[in-house]
This record gives sequence, structure tokens and C-alpha cells, in this order.
Amino acid sequence: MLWYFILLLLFIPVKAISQTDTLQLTRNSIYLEAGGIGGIWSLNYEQVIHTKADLRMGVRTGISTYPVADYTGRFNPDIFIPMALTGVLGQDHCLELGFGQTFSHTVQTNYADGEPERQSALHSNFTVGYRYRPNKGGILFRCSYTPIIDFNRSYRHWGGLSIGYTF
Amino acid sequence: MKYTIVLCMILWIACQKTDFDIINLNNNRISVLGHGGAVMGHTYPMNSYEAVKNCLNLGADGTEIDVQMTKDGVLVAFHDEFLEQSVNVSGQVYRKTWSEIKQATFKEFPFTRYKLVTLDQLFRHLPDRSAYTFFLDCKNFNPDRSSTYLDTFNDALISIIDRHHLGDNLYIELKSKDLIRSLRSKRPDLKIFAYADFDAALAMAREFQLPGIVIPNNRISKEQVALAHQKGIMVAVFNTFTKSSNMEAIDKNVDFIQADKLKHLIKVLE
Repeated sequence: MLWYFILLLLFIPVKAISQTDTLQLTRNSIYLEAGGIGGIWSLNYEQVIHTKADLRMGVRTGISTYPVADYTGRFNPDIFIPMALTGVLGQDHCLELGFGQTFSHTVQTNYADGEPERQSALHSNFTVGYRYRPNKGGILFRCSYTPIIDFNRSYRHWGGLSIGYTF
Repeated sequence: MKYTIVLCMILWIACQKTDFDIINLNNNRISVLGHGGAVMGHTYPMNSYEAVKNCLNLGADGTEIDVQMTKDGVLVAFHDEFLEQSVNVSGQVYRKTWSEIKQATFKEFPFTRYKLVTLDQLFRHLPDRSAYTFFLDCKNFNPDRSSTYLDTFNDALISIIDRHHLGDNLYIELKSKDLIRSLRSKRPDLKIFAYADFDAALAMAREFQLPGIVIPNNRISKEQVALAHQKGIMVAVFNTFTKSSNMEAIDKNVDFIQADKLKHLIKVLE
């Protein structure tokens, strides 16, 4: 049910914008990323908001949960929401650059009483990688180096592989 | 129709439970323990409070926990010799005071906010401690073996055991004779397991009349387990990283398995 609402929210603005779009360029992408700026995995939506020659600027957001149950065995998912501005340069085979913030709402122990508690935080993310994104739409593939600055304190090397659809 | 019958046969075979004829010194049952809270194939950082709690929630009989002592005599649940291998602080535990490392967090994503815990914190928050079995693997990386060091370490250990009433269900893994002798002289009632190669561990267990030995699963045979049992010595194994090594350990009739593939072992021995 949660996924249904998330997808619904993502698609409402897409529809509205695409009706007024006069370019023959596909503007929307949806993809599943293993690793990447969402952590272990994430489901993402991206929309191109500005184009200039071979450069396409876009915004992406997504959602990820891992693990779903906390250490007491209760359903209490860690939630990650990656958000980023992206720049994609090229036709079909592209160079991708991006930066943004990953919001986390995760479970950890309250060390005073040993019980789970939730904490929210922001982590800076960066993306440098290759993207196969046909202008006419279709299968999308990404392979990226996606370092994350955990809690905006410690730099962590990270990477991601994505597969999805551009439309 | 033919395929349905074949499918049914496969499902029937798959659903068959394996029966084990376990004969050992642990009332003919194998106690299933987490290895540092069960790390491989599980979620949480080794020896973290979350890992231990999760392991017990999965249905384990208990867990092994690695123990090191800080410069100021605080026992910390931690495996590696160097802190930087797992947390965001560098150095060795025995060269740091607790206040210097208590804010250290694990590097493993997404648990980068999880902190080191002292043994006292860990046991304090575990409900029904007496219902579980604990093995403390004492990682004495500190080369100091002076009587002052040994006294401090043993006093800290005894204090935790007594404070949390763990004397009956806790086993202490020690690697050398001086450590065993020192703890024995203070508290002969505590259950110590010798941790070494099979021959050395067996010799220490016989010399100090210890209840058991701890050996990596791949370094002990079924015959050696039987030999230890003949001499009245229990056997705990660890390094069962795969399902097949779980099955090997069961086949050896060991008394305790400190498992990494914990869910599998629990299911198999259910």
C-alpha cells in the first residue's frame, strides 16, 4: 500500500508536466539502484528539468528501507530517502554527475535503556558515473561511483548499479 | 501429471527433517550460539548490542562475545586488535581509556551510528540473562602479563559476572596458562574453556581440570571431539561460515556451536 502511494505521488507531477512538454525528449526515468546514494538499494524517480544541447539537468528522489525489522524483531524499518540534482551529458551514452542529500530515519539503541529509538539525519551524496539513457526512451542503465559523507562527517567510498526505464 | 508427481516428490524430500543422533556431554544436545552476535549472513556489526539482542531474538541459546579491556580497566565488547578495522577511532583498545572510545561508532553501513558497548552495558540491558548461555572470548592483545594486569582483568571480569548473576550460564575462553591460572586462583568456580589448537587446548583442559575447549570447526575432527568427550571435556566450535560447515559441526557431536549461519543452524536443530 505504501509503495502504491509513493508511486502515485511520483507520477502525478510527471503527467502534469509532460502534457505541456513540447520537446521530443523523454524526461522521466524510474530505476532500481543497488548500492548508490540510497544506501543498500533504492527505488528512484528522476525528472529532467532543464536541457541545453547535450546537457540535461534533473532532479531525483527515491526511497529505500533496510533492514525492515529492528534488532528486537519488530517491524520498524530503517528509511532512506536519497535526493539529488543530476547533470547528464551526452546522447544515449552519457557522463553523469550529481550531488545532494540522503535523508535517513533509522533505528538505533538508546544506550541508556537498551530500547530502540529512531533518529533522523542528513548525509551528503555525490555521483560520478556512466549512464545509458536513450533519448527516445527505453531501458536505462547506470554505473556510478557514489561517495557519501555519513552524517556530513565521515567520507565513505560507495558505488551503485541501476537498471530502469526512461519515458 | 508426470511433472506434478515429480514436483510433489521434490517437495516431500525437501520437507523431510534430518534426524541427528547427538551424543555429547551437553545432555545430548547442541547449544546454538551466535558468533559475536552472529555476523555472517546477518545484519548488525559484530559484538554490538544490536547484534547480540537480534541473535537472541532469532532463537539462539546464547551468544559468544569478544572481550577486551581498556587502559582504565573497562571491559568492552570488541573483536579486532585495532579499532580502525571496525570503528571510526584508531589504535588498540588496551591503549585507550573508555572515555576515549565510548563515542566510537561502527563503520559498517547503514549502522554508522551504532556505538561500542561495555560488557556491563550489554548485560545490563539484556532481559532474561539467566535463560541464555554466554561465552566470553577474552582477547588479551595487551602483551602485559604482570600480576597487576592479570588482577585488573580478572577483577573486572568477576565484577561483571557477579553483578549480572552469570556464574551458572557463562563460559570464559582463555588462551594461555597464565591467564587460566590467575583466574582460577581467584575464582575456581568459574567455567573456563581453553582456546588453542586441539592438542594444546586438551592438555590445558586436563591440567587445570577445565570443563571444555574451544577450537575452530575446521581444526577439529569427529574423532578428536570423541576423544575430548572420553576425557570428560566439552567442545565448542566456531568458524562455521556456511550451511555445510554447520552440518559438519553437528556431525562431530560438539557441545556448542558458535554459528555465523545462525538461522540455518537453529532451523536444522529445531
